[in-house]
Amino acid sequence: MLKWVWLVPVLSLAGAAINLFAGKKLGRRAGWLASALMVAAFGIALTVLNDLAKLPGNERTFILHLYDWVTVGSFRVAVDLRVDPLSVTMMLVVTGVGALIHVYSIGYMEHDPRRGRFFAFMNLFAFFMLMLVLAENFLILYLGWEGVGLCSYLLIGFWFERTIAANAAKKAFVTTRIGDTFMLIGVVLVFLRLGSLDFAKVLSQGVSSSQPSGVFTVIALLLLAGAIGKSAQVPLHVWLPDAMEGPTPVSALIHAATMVTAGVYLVARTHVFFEISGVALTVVLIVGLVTAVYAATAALGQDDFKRVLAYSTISQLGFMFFALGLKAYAAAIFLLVTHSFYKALMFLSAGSVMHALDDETDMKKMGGLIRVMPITGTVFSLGALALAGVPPLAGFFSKDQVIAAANHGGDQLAWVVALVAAFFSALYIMRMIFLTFAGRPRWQGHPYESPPVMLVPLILLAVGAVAGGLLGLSAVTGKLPAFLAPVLGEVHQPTRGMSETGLSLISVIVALLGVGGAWLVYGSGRIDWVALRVRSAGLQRFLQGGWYVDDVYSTVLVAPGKAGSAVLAYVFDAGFIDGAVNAVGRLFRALASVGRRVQTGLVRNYALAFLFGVVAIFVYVGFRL
Amino acid sequence: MKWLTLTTFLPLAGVVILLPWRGVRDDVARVVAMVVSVATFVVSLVILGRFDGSATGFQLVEQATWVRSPHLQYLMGVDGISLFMVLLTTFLMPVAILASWPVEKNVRFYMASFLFLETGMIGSFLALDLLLFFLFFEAILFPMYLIIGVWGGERRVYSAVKFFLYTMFGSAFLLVAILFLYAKSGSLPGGPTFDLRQLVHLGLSTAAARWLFLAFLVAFAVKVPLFPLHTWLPDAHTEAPTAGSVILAAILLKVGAYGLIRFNLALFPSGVEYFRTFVQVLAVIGIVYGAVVALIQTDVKRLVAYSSVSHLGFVVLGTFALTQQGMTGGVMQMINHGLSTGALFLLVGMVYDRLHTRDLFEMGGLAKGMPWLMGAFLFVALSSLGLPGLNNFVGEFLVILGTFATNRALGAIAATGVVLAAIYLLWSYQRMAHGTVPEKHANHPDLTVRESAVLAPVLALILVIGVYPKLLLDRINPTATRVVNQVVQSQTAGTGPASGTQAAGEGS
Repeated sequence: MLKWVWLVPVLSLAGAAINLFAGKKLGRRAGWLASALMVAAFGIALTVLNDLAKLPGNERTFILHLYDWVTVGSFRVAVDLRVDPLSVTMMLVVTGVGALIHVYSIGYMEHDPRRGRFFAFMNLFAFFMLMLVLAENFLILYLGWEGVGLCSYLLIGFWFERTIAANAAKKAFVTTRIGDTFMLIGVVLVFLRLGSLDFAKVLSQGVSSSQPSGVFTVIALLLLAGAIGKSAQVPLHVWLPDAMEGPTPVSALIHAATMVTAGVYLVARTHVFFEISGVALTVVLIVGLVTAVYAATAALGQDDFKRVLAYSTISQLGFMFFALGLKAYAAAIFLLVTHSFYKALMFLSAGSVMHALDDETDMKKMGGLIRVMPITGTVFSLGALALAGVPPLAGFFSKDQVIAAANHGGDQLAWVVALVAAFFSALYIMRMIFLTFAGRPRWQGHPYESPPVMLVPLILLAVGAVAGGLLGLSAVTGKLPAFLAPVLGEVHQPTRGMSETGLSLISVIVALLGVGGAWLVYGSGRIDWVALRVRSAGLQRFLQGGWYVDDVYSTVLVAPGKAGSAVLAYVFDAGFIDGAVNAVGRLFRALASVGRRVQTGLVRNYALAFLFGVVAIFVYVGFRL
Repeated sequence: MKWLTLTTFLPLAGVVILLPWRGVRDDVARVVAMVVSVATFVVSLVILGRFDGSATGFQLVEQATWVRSPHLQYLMGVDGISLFMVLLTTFLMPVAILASWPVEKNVRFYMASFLFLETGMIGSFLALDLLLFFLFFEAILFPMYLIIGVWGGERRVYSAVKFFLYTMFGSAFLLVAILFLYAKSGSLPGGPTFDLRQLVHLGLSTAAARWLFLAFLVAFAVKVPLFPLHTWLPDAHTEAPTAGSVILAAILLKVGAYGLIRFNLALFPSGVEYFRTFVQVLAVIGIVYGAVVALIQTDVKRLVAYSSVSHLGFVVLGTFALTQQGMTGGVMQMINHGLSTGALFLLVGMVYDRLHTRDLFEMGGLAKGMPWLMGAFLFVALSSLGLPGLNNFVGEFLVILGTFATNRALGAIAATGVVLAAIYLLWSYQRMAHGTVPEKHANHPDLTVRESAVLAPVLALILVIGVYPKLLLDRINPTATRVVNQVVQSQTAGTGPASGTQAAGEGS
């Protein structure tokens, strides 16, 4: 089955094409078609996994050549797909979680007149995402990379009548493209320095001797810039909270489970470059840690519950980058997988709540919803507890491994900061639970539980959020780390730092402190959180505004950019350059009318006079050479 | 069969039919033009079929002495670069004519002008005799002047005159330089000639080569247009009728870029050596400058015009990188820009036909009522901003790669043009398509059958080239390599074998 892997992306592409052109005719069937294709793709992906697992560990790489894409001299790039443990893991997440989100969307988008287009874009997204993770070279990866950006643009701005959605879509595309352009230069440099863009040729340990390590630092940092943009890391994270303007299944699929993890995948895939560089690895670590803490605090200040989840995603991605920076690649991918379960779960549950409350997203107008939406409330809580790191849920194992890696890596400061971020994570996510599902109702209307087509995917995702930890019970011997070892390297038994049990205990205590803190303020009823909000309004606004990063950007970058552009266009181009041209024109017109005093054939006259003049001068100069 | 001659002059046959045919019904005139242009396209496909992709020199050469003294020849030939320029011309001309169906004013002359223009453009791409080239080159000027000046918008006369003067300014230098070359060519074995293939061997003094390079450069830089000689372009584009803008952007600008490759690079290697960085810097300024100025435009046609300045910068940058990848990418961008910007002007024209405004601030929400028209616009905008999978990406990437190999700073700055393109194209799309519809624009129809037929072939090619660029690359690459090698070899003559013709990886 390995050579049938091309079907996985192509099925999604076919679905996109059909729904784009015939989605209107298909009506309600559009969603079922798109979902069925995703389920089929997941099925094929499973057989691919099965076949791959039959091979001996060190032979688990299969490259499928489809056709030559760009060939100019020594520059050769083909459309090649790579099947190895890492790409298969990603492929399963994309098709598996993707299929569930597609099914959920059938219910969520039921009354939208443009659902054909919605599913076309969703399928197209899956296609590009699959190309991204299955790519065997940097250029096909870049194709997928830009393609998912496009679909993200189309889906954030899906309800384009709303200016705020249209703006968010453009912001997402442009912000990520800044990172992408650095990345593209990085790709160019990979070819110029290493002579190929194929992973099989350039991503081996032996590559280190071919160039000075500074070259790898530059390449790695350029690639990292792309990853920072796509995975919404500081300082290019500003697009993700705004991206919540898209339909909620989009937030779940693209802005939580898959696309935003592409940066993590990229760094993991090219970790050889980062390791040779060393410096670049430290940068990854710092970016991740800063992002994890920053976004966790910002999440604490949000009232819009989709924005809580957005900042939460940024923070969780920060944890993944942090893990990458610690060389705990398998732990990063493990966290990526479990996060895709519990965060997709939470987003989709949030979508159910919005459905029930007429698209209300303000948590101040929620509360007590567990009584009217018991299933949604339960699965959401499971997801939240998983994120908070409460054992034995999936998030406990994955996050614990990341934090433990910091301790074992010997950097105690990073470890403590990561614990702080973990504390804030538990705090903001439980605050969300208490404000939406617990306490007394503050909503109006008649909320209701979602239909089965939406609930079944939620329940399946909840299973993942609860039991996903089984994939990696131990960082060393767990199923997933062992499976990934041929690509990401063996995970060794830690030689220093605290014992695993001790670290787990500390992690659990920190998580419970966060849960308890949230309960004390928002759940116990002993503290008037509304009054608290008013008293600390300045801090509240600071956190809600995401530390005002957006405002700084618009003052420092956007506004001067616009002004500069206007000056160039109206003062320099129209005034100076074109003014000079027109002045010359007027001069010749004046000369022509004086010399000939004939007004007919205006153009011909002064053009000719001009022509002869230039000819005369040039002939004179020319023949003297 | 003399296929090159047939392709070149078939459109002129249409002119000969139409011009004397007084009182011809408008519809008949349209159909005649359509039939002639489609026939020309079919004939040009024969050239493609007979073209040997692996050969590097000129093919299907036709030669006849025209005037004995001065020794002027009718000399035509095609290589991997001119081949696609001709095909682009013959492919887009029926598209432009079909797009011109709604034109009501002097239809017979309108169509005749376009067909005359086509002969001039094809001839420019195929002529290998410098004076013959000059004649075709000048023959383009007059019909284009008429198309802008007669069928254009409100400020058409100002724009047409400006276009005419600018180009005449460049042509003057070109003519003198050609005559100078002829005067010098007496030393060649065959006696004085305008034959490009002979003139390549002319041993010019370094000073002469530099001066001549500059004269040719001015002529072609105006056409490209290269910063700062670009200010005729926004005016000409804005005022020209839709089909005029399409042909102007898609093909006329390419005559300039083509001239730089065909003549500047081939004839004056020592001039290239001297001015290369200067030209590349102008190209990079054009890339960034055109894009930044496009950011602030509110007239959508001006916006697309400035985007052309930016995109053509990539073409010149790539070709003057003098690497195999840069040259191939540059030539590919000539084709891609023709298709994408041509399509953008078609779409903008269709929007104008409905809304009667080009002001982006008077638009909005059009995606609701016209999903296909706006969808097509977005598709082309994405191609233009270099989305992988569509045509522009491959060319732009090769240009950046080829440039980076020889000059990192310029390659990196050029890459910022890609970010800026995303900003201005998506901004203009958002202004048009997103938000709420103004009351008066709520009920416009979506694409008609004719409009779909205009767009479909162009959009299809945009996708095909993006997915399978080998169709072009395999035929362009041998010629591009030859052009680069010739320049590099004659520059390094005596100093050992040519190096640096490839952006080859050092580790390979």
